[in-house]
Amino acid sequence: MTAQTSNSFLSKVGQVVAVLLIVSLFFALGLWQLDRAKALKQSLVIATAVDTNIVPLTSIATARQPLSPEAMNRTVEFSGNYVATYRAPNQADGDGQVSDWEVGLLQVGTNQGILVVKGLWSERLLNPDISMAMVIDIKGQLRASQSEDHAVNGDGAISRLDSSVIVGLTDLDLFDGYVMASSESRNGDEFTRQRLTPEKLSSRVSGYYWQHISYVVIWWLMAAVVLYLPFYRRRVKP
Amino acid sequence: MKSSLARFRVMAITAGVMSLLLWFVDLPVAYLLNNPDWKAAVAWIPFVHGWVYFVYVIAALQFSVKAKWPISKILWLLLAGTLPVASLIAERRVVRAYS
Repeated sequence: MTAQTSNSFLSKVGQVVAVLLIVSLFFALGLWQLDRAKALKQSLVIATAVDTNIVPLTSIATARQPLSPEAMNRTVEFSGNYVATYRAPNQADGDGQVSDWEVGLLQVGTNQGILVVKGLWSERLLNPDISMAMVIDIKGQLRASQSEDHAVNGDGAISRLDSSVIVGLTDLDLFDGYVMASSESRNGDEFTRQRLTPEKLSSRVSGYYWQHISYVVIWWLMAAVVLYLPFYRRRVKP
Repeated sequence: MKSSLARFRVMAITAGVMSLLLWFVDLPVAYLLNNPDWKAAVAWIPFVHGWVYFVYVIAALQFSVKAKWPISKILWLLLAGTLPVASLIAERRVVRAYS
């Protein structure tokens, strides 16, 4: 074997290795996007599922800890005393109706607290018999904290349903998220008022899922192009 | 050749417009502004951009292979679909060279 043929052979081997490496990289990137698409689909299925079995709040959530995805939207029950009331302006319910909501801070146990959406702010005087001394039993849906402001904090108003906005106003250890109360009762006697339906959980899985799938197709198409390039015969100038 | 050039031109312009929307509308709304309604309103852009770029790659490949371009030039043409304005510039240069 001459030095020239040896160099040519090494050059060919180098090209094959380079092509295989690039193809492997593009194929792996396609697999990565496919995994992301699957993970997105799975996470949105969890986020939009509503488990109606009632569980104690403290069995699925811990104060000062972020809510786990499995705890979101679960129906919970717990008891405690209201220690503060806030107005949450410009909140949309399940029908898209925007109004101000009455939100109570319920002390659970000796040093924990959670935000409870009780109903419309305009109906806050319907149950004047609820006092701070009473232990109130709550049932409702545990929701993730809101991330966007609906108003400005101050004058008894909270900008969003998020315990972090009242951290400076209480010494309690706060639970992440908030509860949309479906019932408030004391010793079995329910307080009657219009309960708010939570904003509908919507999944935009189809759009984002197909976006990731498009990237899968593009990466694998690129891998196919790289495989084809060594066989490509470009124009040879005479 | 004429029909593949026409297909490439259409896809280059479409991919260019989608890239502009992606870089200057979708990304600022998604990462700089905290407005879920706006995010939802522009959510279609990356999805459509992904599929438009896929068709752009097919059209660019068909055209450049038929024109028997060198490999490096083909790769630049494929990459042009990912950057704003680049595919529009590529379309103009191709039109000047082949019209």
